Amino acid sequence: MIEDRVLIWRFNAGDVEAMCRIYEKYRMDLLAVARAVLRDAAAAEDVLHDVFVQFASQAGRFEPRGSLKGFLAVCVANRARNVNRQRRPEGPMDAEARSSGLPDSLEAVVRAEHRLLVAEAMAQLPPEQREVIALHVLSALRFRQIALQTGESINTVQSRYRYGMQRLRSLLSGQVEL
Amino acid sequence: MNRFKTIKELLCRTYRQDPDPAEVARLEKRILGDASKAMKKAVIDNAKPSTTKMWRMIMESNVTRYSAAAVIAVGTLVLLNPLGTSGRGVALAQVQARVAQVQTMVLKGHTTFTSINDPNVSVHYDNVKYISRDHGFVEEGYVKGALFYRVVLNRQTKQALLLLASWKKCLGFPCTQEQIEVTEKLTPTGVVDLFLETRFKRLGISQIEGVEVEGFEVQDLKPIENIVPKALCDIQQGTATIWVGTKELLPVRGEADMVLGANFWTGFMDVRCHEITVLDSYDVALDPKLFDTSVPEGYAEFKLTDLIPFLRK
Repeated sequence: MIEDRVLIWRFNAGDVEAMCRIYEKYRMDLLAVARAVLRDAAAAEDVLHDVFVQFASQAGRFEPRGSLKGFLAVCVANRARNVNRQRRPEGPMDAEARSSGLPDSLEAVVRAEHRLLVAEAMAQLPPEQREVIALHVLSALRFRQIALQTGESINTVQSRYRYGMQRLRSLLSGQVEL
Repeated sequence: MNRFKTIKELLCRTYRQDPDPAEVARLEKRILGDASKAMKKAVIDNAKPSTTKMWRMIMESNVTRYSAAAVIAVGTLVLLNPLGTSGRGVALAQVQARVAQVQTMVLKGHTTFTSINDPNVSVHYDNVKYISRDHGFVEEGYVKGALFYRVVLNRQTKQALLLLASWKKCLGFPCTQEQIEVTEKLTPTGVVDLFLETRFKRLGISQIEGVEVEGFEVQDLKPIENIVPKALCDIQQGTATIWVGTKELLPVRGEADMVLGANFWTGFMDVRCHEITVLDSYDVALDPKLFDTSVPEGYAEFKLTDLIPFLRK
């Protein structure tokens, strides 16, 4: 993407506005990936913070392999995976996924329930399947980009995605209208 | 695949929802605050040596310092030109010679166009220019940090590319040597040449961000109208000021106020143009990919019919 190339150039030249623009552009994608892998909002924010500060410390010599978004998203997924390994085993959802406060409507109640079910289903996936799903669905990365950034073959990436989505479909079937 | 469409929607609804704006702002402040500090440190630690740092390294050694001084003294004597040599301050001919030695420049600026017929109609944008004697010229315009336009002239391939990012349109065309020379008239090289070719007024010594500078003003930009095609820039009247560093002999800041006739670049309006340009860096390595004129992915070719909505206004 040409804008990203220019942003990287300006970033390496020390332009703080370029860094802010990169954050603004990809914040939502990166936070979504972190939340999907970690299932904990506070921990997801910490991961985004650490990844972005680490990224900023490369100013002046940053040369991503592949796209900027792909690089950042995989960094987030990797760091989130490491945080997960250090935490307690996966169990019941953290408070973030549960609805808080009084819902406005029946639709809001249903949506909140769906979010909880989806998060619990994702928690049952193997980490590598969860990560590929997060990168492809939430960050809109192509399989080719994910393969390039993770060093896995594109077939492996596609298989993990397919098996993960089939498992999700199986877990959610009967609980959510698919 | 469609069979996963509903699951994808559920995933996006689960994980891509934003908390309240106060939380978003809090997180942004935290992350960008720490990232800015890390970045400022990194830029210093990771910076590649540029000619400015090389100059400091030369001056720190007695051997190299006196050698460099001797070269400059001889060079100055050879290059002194009666035009602009008053015995005091900066001689523009010295600046012309110094600018001719510079291989690359990065200039940053801000441009404001205001309609003459309606001062409430105005456009502001930031711009960055990359100039390389080897590769050519690139100019980019940004509105609120987002790329708006990009112009590339590649000296080596003799190709040019005009890109309008907000429309996802671009136009590639062959670039002649004459067109490259015209573009160079709008760079510091050309601006200093212009000052030497016309009547200028000295503004005296001042300081810009701690750097001692001398100012020069041209009050009649008419001579430039013969250099730049009217289709590109129809200058009807204007003044320009450049501030030159008294030690480095390079223009560090330029400012121009012009009245421009209507053309594509002015949105087909007669406008006042106020432009400020600052020398950000020079003789730094510029990635040749910056001057790539190939059509980027996602862009369609610009057609004349795309102009119809503007011509109707």
